[in-house]
Amino acid sequence: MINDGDPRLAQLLDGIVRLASGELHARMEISEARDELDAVIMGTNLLAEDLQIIYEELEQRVQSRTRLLHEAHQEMQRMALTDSLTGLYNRSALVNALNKAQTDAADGGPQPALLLLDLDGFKSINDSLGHSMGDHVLAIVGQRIRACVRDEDMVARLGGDEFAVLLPASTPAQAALVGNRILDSLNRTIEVDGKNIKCGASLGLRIADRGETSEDLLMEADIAMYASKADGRNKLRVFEPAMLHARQLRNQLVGELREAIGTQLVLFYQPVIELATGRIEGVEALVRWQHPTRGLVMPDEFIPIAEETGLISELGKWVLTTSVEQLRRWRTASETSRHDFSMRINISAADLQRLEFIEDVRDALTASALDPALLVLELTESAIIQGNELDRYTLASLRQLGVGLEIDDFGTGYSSISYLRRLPVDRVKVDRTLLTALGSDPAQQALIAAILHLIRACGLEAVWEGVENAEQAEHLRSTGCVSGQGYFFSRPLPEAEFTRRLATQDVWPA
Amino acid sequence: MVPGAVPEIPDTDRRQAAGIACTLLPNLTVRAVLPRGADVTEAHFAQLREQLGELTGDRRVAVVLRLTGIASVSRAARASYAAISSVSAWAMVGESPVDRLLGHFLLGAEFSSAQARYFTSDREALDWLARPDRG
Repeated sequence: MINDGDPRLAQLLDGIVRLASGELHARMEISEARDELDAVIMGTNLLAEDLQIIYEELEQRVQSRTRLLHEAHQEMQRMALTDSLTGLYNRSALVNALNKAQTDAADGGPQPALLLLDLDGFKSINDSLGHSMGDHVLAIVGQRIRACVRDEDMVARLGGDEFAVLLPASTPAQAALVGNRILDSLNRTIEVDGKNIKCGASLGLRIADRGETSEDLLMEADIAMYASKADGRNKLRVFEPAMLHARQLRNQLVGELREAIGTQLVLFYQPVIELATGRIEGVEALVRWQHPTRGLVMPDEFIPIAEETGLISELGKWVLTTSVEQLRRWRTASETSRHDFSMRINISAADLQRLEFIEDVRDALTASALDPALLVLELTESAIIQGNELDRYTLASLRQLGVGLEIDDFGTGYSSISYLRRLPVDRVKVDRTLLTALGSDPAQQALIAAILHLIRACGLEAVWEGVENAEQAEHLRSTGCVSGQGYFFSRPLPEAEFTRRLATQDVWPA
Repeated sequence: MVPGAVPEIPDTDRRQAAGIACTLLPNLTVRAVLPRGADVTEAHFAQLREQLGELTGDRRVAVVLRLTGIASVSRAARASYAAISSVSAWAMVGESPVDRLLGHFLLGAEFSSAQARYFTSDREALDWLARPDRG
């Protein structure tokens, strides 16, 4: 029997207290008696052992789960900072690294340099060879850039075909060296699935000012990159403060242009003349911007901006509807209706990419009740030749509609006889440069005759652009050329002046 | 003599190895005695399994397991005991409250098919094993 004075009771209590305090390894000895109290002690030992095992298993499980969680967290962090296509860092990682580099440089060390690059003509790779091929190209570009930099430099893909390289501590000369190495590397042909692809890049370089934010750095490198693109591509441009001013002006211009469509844009008109008779056979609508403070702005100042910002579609639609409506007015007004001529407007490559463009043309013609043949759309060689399936579909649809199609600036670009025969156009407008040497170079006459024969052999007709004097007009007429356009006949005129001329003169020049 | 052996049961065959003693009784029953004061480990039950094989071949047997006076039973020993598949029924025999506790610790192992019960004498154990309706 157990009595109150049994020392094992105190030993049992001590043991249980130790267990309660977390000493799960504590065990108690049993006596020789092996009686009920020893059984309780032994049972307590067994329960303590159970508890210890459960606790250790739990501990191990917590450790294992914590490790898995940590690994998952690291993987998520890696994914959050990595571009999945190229395996390079992404914008978020670059911004973090830029901030760190700026902090590191704050105590007087060399400043970080940021190179920003954008592939030239990547869109056409995607359009013509497909997005999968485009992705391959991006991955290879990423590898090539990586191979051009040091281990401590960071290469990131910011999105699309835009990449960045951060050189944490670098001199302008070192950064320019890396930039030019990248340009050379990307200028080499890329081979994907047996296809050789040429894909250059435009690079902007910005050496950080002390304390400059990552946002500003990226913006300024971007400005330098766009300056490089505007400079003719495949170049490296270093950021200059003047570029920032130019960008601000450009941004302002974009905002103003958006407002101007439909309110400040005006059309000027230049006649296309039948050389044999001097009668008007067509009129080309040319857009100008009547800017409230800058005066008349020519299209070469705002059309590229409209193309870059996507405003070109809206602008093109306005030109289309306004010019077609104008032709309707001339053809119905009593003082001008005796003339029979077509309206010619310039369309952009972006128009061919919009299926709605066909609808726009149809709607404009329907609204003005004009014969589709009275509308001639002029487009550049490059727009046709570099075009993709959608472009070809749009061109075919426009032809089905009955509108005329004409290649603008023929002879300046890619013209080849094989293309000329296959293109879905009715006529070409021969570039003015072919006429400039006429008179001074005896061989030019023969060249013009040869070009005319070539065009006709392809079943097309030609309009000769840039006719500036009577001799040129007479030479073209005597060579058998049918149509001409140029200052000799008339400069582009505002609508009111052109209407007055139509009302008063039957042949051009007056 | 092995400590704790019950003299009234005649031995027809006896084997002893590494402290565990086995005796083959009639009716395919084996009496196994764990050594007094032993900290029983998986090695004890590994030896028991071997000896059962030597005594009875691959036939299933009933076992009277005497654990009187053992000091402890490890968890690995319990798992090893539970893994012996050639035993159809276990009758644990002990005397003191500590034996009872350790016997029930063994009974707490997960069994697949064998029946098991704790007794305080060999006689009760053998009676139970002899009952056709033991359960």
